[in-house]
Amino acid sequence: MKRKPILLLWLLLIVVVLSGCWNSKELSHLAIVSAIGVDKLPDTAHYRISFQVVNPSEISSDVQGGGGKTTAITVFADNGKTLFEVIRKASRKAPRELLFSHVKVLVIGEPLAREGITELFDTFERLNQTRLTTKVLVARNATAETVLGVVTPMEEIPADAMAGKLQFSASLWSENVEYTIDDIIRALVSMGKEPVISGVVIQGEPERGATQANVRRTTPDATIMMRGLAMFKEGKMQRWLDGVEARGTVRLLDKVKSSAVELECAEEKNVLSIELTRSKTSKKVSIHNGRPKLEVSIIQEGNLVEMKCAIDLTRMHELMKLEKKWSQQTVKDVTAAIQAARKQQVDIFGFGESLNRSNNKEWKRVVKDWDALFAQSEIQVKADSFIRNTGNRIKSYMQQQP
Amino acid sequence: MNTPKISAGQLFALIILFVFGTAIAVNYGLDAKKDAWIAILLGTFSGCLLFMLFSYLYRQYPDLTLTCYTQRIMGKYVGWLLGMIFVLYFIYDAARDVRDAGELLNTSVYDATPIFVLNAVMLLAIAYVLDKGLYVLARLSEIFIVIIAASGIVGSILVFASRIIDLNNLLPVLEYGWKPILTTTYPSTFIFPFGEMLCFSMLFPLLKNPELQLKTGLLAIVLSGLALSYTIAIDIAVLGADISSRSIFALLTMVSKVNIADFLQRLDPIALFTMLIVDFFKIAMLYYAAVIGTADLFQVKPSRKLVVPVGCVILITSMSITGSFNEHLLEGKLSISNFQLMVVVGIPLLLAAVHLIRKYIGKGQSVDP
Repeated sequence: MKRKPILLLWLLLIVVVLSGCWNSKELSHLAIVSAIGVDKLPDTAHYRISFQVVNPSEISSDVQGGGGKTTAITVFADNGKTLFEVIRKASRKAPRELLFSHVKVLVIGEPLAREGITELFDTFERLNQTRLTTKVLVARNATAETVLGVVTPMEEIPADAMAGKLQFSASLWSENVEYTIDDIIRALVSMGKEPVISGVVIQGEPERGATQANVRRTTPDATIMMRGLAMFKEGKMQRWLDGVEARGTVRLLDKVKSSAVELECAEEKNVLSIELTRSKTSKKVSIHNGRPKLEVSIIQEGNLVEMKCAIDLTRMHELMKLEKKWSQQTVKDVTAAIQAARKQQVDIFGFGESLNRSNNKEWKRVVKDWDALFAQSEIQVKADSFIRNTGNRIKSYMQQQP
Repeated sequence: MNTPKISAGQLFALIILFVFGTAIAVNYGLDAKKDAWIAILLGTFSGCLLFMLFSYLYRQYPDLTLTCYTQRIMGKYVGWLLGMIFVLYFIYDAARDVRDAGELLNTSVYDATPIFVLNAVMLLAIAYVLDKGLYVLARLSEIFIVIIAASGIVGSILVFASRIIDLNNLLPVLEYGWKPILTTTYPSTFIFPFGEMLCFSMLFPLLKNPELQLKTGLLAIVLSGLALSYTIAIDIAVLGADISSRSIFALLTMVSKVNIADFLQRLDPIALFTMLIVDFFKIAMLYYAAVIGTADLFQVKPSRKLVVPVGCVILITSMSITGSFNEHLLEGKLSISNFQLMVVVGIPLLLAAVHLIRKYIGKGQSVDP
């Protein structure tokens, strides 16, 4: 008898609670942002921030939805002093509320990178929609806004295309690294390590890349490409590392998964190619008479996959000669990278962190002038290479020819 | 509310869920930076000692709750006053944990929902369970301990499988020596969550096998302490000491990094779910202790009549306790090193001392109250 009104009250409350509508956001009112670009307006304190927003009707698999009428994405951009200000300002241009849970890539314009990126990431940590797993890139010779606007083949959403290019070039070619926001923050905070960020360039004509026509051609007018590593010091970009230096850097960061290595054949000008399959870098730092000694040792394995000369691979010592040559070349790559970093007095490899781990007391003594000490350090690089197999053939058909 | 008895297994489950409580979400151990896991292990060890003190008091009065034997030991008036302090402490602590849960939901997903509503919904669920009796809560704990253990194991596998762990982040151990670890352990990781287990003293008289109380309790504390320490170590290994110590909910940030084959990702809701379940049990235990304590002090029978009024007090306290989350966390640290320390360590020590003095000096004389 007495329980009935109470029961009724419970039921009423359950109705209120179960519907869960308080925080509801309708999907049809949301615009999914796939990439964010940040540029600096010259001579002001203002940022120009661009959002790559997915056009839902274009990427839906629904055949009746039409498709092909507009581009798969639209770029909205606005100016402001903070990222959040621009997010809200963008509501004047975007017809829906921007949703940041699916941001794949953050692109930083090169001029801004050179001015400093230290203050950039704070809001990404604070807001609950943004994620630390967003990948970071620096736009090379272009504004981040133009990079975001290039329409890409195969992946309808350019941000996915960028993320894919970064991921696969980092794991198959190993001249850049797939760093996310939290990696950058860790490096910015650390006393014994400075960040590097992969670069992205537009190859071709950026103007034409922004139209749907770009993907109607078999050879797009503009292509987005990963290229080089931006080296930072105290949050400010110093220079680009390319080719050998970039390779060496990735080695020292121990992020090499696989790569293609070219070695010269013995006497001739020809080359042979090795598929790098495993690489492990260990770093050791010690201090002798106040001068750091950096010891790097690399163990690498690979397969010989292409040869333009007739080396007799049935003879073990030929293979060992190749292994030795390969080791020498790796040592050269790594040394070039260290030299480049020493010249700028930036420890991008985390030698300082290594020292902290192995000899905490010594590190505390040198931490204040580590950059200068790093620049005059003694280097010792060692590589051990193993060619595990030579593919489906041992002898080359060229060997049979006179 | 007190006819059926609590089994040793249920006590075990309740203690583990209680210790995980808010500790797994908001972790103060991170004041010790990358050595937080050591601070928690130290806290666990000290927590065991404190639990032995609680058990000692309980064994002197196996049929009485904390508030009852306080009155026995200290006399009617002083004892009643101390009992009141305990009850107020339980209410305050429950309110803090309710607020933690509300803030957790508010900052992570329900950004447009008022915290009052989130807190009220949480308390409504707990009040319902307590209205059904402690036995229902105990059986519930048996179910949820399995769920929590399973999500812990699955979560660990996912974290390991997505290769985001970098053990270098935990090195060098003792970078700043023992001092920061000790100042974090005493009082932070010691009182929070192990000191708060004082509320279990309100439940011990309901045990089915009183002789297993100490063994079960210590086992549960050690296991949950190890699990907490492990969780924090993983947080640091994934995020680094800097990001995890600056995150308000390090576990949530850590789990958001899980990504297996671009398919298994965005697991934060699962972590959130886990954090809410354990917090539910922690609030429920403190809430229960507050209800029983109030019933004892004011001679209200049956005690379930007090579930709704005490719940209302907790709800209002959880809202008025602080104006912002920053203040909430700051106040947590401050109260732990001051009055929480007094209540959960100081008063029980005093009780034990007075008890011993009465036992040995007052030998021969009648010590009946």
